[in-house]
This record gives sequence, C-alpha cells and structure tokens, in this order.
Amino acid sequence: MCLKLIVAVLLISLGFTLLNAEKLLPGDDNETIINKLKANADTLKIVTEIAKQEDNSVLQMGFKSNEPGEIYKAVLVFSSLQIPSQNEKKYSIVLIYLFTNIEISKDKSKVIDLINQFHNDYWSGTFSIDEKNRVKGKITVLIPPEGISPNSAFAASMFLMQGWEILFQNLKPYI
Amino acid sequence: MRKLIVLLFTFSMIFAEENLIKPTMPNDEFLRILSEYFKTNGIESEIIKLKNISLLKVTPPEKLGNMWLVFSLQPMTVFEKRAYGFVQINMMTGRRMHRYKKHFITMNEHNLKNSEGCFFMNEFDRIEGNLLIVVPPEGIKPDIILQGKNYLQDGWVKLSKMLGVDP
Repeated sequence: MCLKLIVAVLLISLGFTLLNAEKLLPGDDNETIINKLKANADTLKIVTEIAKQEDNSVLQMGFKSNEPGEIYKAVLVFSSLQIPSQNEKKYSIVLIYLFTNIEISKDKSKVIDLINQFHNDYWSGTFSIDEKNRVKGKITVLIPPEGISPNSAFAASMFLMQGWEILFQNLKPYI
Repeated sequence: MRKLIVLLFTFSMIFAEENLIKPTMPNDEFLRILSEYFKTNGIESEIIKLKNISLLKVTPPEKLGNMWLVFSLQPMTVFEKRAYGFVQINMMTGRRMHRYKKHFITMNEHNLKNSEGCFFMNEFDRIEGNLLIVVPPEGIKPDIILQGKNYLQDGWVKLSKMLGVDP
C-alpha cells in the first residue's frame, strides 16, 4: 500500500516537472526563455532563429501579412527581463518587439499624433517612432510565479501584428 | 487508506482551479473575482458602467495624484485553436496637458524605451495609460493583475518625471 502511494506521488511530481519544463518561468534567465520559445516554435513549425542583440540572445521571427504587397513585412523579436515585485514572489516579462523597415519620411509630428490616436482607439500593442524615424511596435507578456506556456507569447505576437495592420493603414500617406 | 484520502484531498486543494481568471469567462464574472481578490488585499473597488461595458474601478494612493484605474477582460486571439484573452488595465489620470509637440515626443520616448505600460493623450487632453495582461486558455490567478497594476503605476511615475510634472 505504502509503496503504491510512493509510486503515485513520484509519478505525479514527475508529471508536474515535465509540465513545468516547457513552461516559461519567472526565475528563468533570458537564455532559457529564448531556448524554450525556440523549442516551442520548432514544434509548431514556426520558422524562427536565435540571434544576438547587444550581447543578449533574442528570438527572431519573420512575418508577412496575407494582404498584398511587401510593405507589411516585419520582424518580431522576443526577449525577457525580470521585473521588480512588491511581494516575495518572482515575476518577469517576455518583451516582443516588432521591427518594421518603414521610415517616416514626411511629417513626423503628425505620425506621432496618429500613433497617439491609435493608442486611444485600440489596445493591441504599443507603437512608437525610434531615433531612426522607424515605426516600432511592442507588447509584453507577464510571467506569473506559476509560469506560462510559450504559446501565450506567440498569441500575443499575433495580436501585436493585428494592431500593426490597423495602424499601417493610417500611416500610409506619411511613408 | 485514510492517509491516502488525506493526501489526495491535499493535492486537490493545492491544484484546485478556484478563482482562476479564464479567457472566455464573462466580463462580469471576472470583475466579481477581481473585486473579491482586491478586497482580501485591502484594496477598495467598485463596479461601474462606461459606454455599456462594466469595469472595475480602483483609486490608488493619493501620492499618485488624482487618478483611477479600470479593469476589464476582453477576447484577444485564437492561437493553435485555443482562445486567448487579455485583461486591460486602463489608467485615467487627472493630468490635463496642452497638446504641445514636446509632450507627444516625451510620451513617444517613454513608450519606446520603457515596458511599464503604454501612455497617450485622450480626447479630453488627459494622459491615459494602458497595460495588457495575456490570459492563456488555462487561466491566470488574480495576483498577476495586482502585479500588473503596480507595474503600470510605476510607468506613470516614470513618465510624470519625464514630463516634469507631479503625478
């Protein structure tokens, strides 16, 4: 009886260990998060590659909309960082950036105005103009103490892309 | 045998999906769970109606200025045939600013370089902030929303410093 109980407990804990092995956990360092995302992307047959950005590993993923034209093309970049907590629990975030090759060539202040208006009307990511006058998008996924499936990060990246497709229509005249 | 029952009961208590926020649950149910969670953590909240949507309103400490936060649950996307939702934390600040170019540039800079929420100016020239928390199909515990709320508040403190104003 006792032996059966021990075996049952061991099997349950093994099950949870395996379940947690693929989860993104707040204690994971950036390298581990990137490797877990990469493994998950491979399973889902999503083409990604690990690259280096300022000595940090990031996961890159190309995106092309179903809409005609190459202008939608963007690269999604995943990385992670720990965030401060007001309790003893650990939290971190997955940061997903959307880099476009779109340079604002006409009226930058009007574009910033339009982006502000977009943030007022929709919530599917944060968009801004970088130092090189390029449109950049961002979305964050909070990782709770119990962890989160890597699929959550990919679902969030899809949502960010949907936001970009809406915003892009408004920015067209200024590109 | 009795020990086995106690053990199984303990396991079921630990892994019970009590008060989990699920992506497809009705917004009203989400607000009830969150309101109860806030109450147990000493945070007063009230359910309000705005443009036919129910929201949970919380007023943070006075040091953060005249400001309130609202929470709602909305559908996000379907990925790998499973529905994902998001909790939107919207911060309405009482800070009214002129529509100067420099203010928009500062907000753009904040949004570019920081991850503690997204800030913009609404149609009443007041600064608002937004933070999204992804709700996976398996659900999340309400404590992650409290963490998100604090994170967004940190963002507002950072932005008000950049704008050179009191929150």
